[in-house]
Amino acid sequence: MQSHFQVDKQTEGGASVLTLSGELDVASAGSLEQALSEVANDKHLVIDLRQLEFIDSTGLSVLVAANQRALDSGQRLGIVNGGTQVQRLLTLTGLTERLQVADTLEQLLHGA
Amino acid sequence: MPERVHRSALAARLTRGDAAIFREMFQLLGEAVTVRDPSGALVYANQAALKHLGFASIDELQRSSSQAIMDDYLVEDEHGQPLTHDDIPSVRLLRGERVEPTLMRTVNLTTGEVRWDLLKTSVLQARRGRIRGVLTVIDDVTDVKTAELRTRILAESGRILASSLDYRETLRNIVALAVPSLVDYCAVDLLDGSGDIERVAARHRDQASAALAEQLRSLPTTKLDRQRPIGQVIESGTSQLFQNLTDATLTELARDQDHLSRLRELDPRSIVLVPLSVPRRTIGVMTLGTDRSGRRLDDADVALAEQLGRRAAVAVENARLHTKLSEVAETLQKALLPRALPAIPGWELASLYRPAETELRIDVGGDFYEFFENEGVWLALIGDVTGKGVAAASVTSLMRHGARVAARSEPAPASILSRLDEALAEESGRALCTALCLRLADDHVVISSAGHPPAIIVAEDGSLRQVPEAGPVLGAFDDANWPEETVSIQPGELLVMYTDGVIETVGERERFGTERLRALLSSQAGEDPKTVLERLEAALAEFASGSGSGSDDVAALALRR
Repeated sequence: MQSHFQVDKQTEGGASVLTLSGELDVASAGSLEQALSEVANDKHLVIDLRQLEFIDSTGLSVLVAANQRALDSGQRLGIVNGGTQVQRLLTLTGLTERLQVADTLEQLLHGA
Repeated sequence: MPERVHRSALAARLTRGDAAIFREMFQLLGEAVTVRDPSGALVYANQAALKHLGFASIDELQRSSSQAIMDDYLVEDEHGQPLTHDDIPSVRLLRGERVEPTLMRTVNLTTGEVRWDLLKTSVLQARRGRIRGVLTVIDDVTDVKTAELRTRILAESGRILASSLDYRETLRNIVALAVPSLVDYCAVDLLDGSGDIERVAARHRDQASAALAEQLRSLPTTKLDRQRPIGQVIESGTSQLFQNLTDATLTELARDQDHLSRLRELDPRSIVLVPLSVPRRTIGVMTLGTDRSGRRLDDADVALAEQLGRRAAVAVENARLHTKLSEVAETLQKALLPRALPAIPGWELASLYRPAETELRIDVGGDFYEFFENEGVWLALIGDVTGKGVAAASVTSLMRHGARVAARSEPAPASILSRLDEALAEESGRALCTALCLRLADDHVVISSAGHPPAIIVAEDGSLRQVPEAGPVLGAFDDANWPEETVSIQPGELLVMYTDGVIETVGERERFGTERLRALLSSQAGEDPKTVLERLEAALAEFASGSGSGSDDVAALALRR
């Protein structure tokens, strides 16, 4: 059942949007870090988790680190929440409350 | 075979003049051609055949008996079975046997040169069906056969080297591969950490002489001597080839008088010593030799032996490294888990811990649990650190020992989690940790969660409760705090804490999930903690069996009042 992790990048409404799909875990966290380092200087970044099938604690730690870097550098970072498992873990670990998490991409692009 | 019919018919019509022309043609052929008369004597050989057999002229050839020529060679079929004069294809054909093209391996006993020949024979018929002789065309296929052998040996060595992590067994298999297809004798000596040379594997073609093989295997361990060939090969990392061994060299090679007399008994012809090298050092020597086969080893043999040596060295090094890593992992793992569950008055305990299967089978995971006591108050901690392997292990160690220390100043779950969060933030790197901390009392527990799946309480009637609401994961946020919940526990109720690995266990189509876990726990109401966790472990194993993927870390604790 395991599917490959993939990161797709496009630009939408002035923001860089990284769309994650597949499973983000200890095996694939490195490729997300790589993708994040390429957009580290972009003013507005959105990480879209809607197509993400699975995330584990190592995957979460990459999101937390990205959030910390964004706070330090003044980057605007938003996250589009994912499916059941992703939502459960983001909520359980307190990320939903503490990170800029929305249900749709539009909310992040036009809101705030 | 149409070719034979054609050639025989042609031969039958030969006039004397025609025969002269054919002789000229045969002389020009690259292939060796011989003719044996009905009495079995060799009466004709073209230029290539004379050269092959080592004669200057046909006259010289005709003066030697066929048996005498054969005596200069060691002749075997392609399976290594010795062939006698009566087995030669042309001799068999003269006896009226049916003969297919035959592959033969010959070793010139004087020069030690090895040849592979493909012999095709046909009858030369005279008038009225009488046999005039037998024509043999000898095709030299040495290059093809040698390349084939080398390719096969290298391919098989790859299989052998990948088959086991027991390097002694691997080396025994490599030695068995070289003997007898490549050489008559092969041995491997390894240098150990204290400078001793240890004989690890040895084999001689002469299987009948089991005693000899045993003697070769059981050579005593000796100190490395840089004056002698093995020591020189280890020091220089370069091979030594002794094409034509002398008694003086044998004396140098021998470890002691006893070994020397055994070597003399073997009467080796050629020996090559190749290094077992890994980057920057040589860890041993492989010795390959010929004796009975009479073959003289050459540069091509050295190249092949060196390749075998390199591969064997990597296998040895990997196996040793694996052993070392496993020891480290085992030590770490012992340090990472409580030796045994404590006895806590009023509570029955059970635990489940199964680290992820990693490629190296180093069983250190990011999941952990710990029971600790402060002035009669018992606490439990279960958690999951991001990442895997030794890096994760060092963080789990920090969490477990940090919790013990924190409990001494304030044995409250929320404040312990707070101390752990601080400890994690001070760690370099970006490790996160989810954790559930529990304080046990007579009739209730105090519980606090940092981003960890809630505990499930199973009542005797099978109904379930989940506690507590989770605070944030440890190591992520600056200004966090963790809520505590006090939950009363009835006698006979079971409290189960688990890591994400349980519900994230991968099955054939989906993950195990919370619902399966809840259903299983509900069905186990009234069972003791040990039984419940055994059934959970079995259920996870069965669920994962169809997935074909490796398992993640799994930890669980069950407590019953």
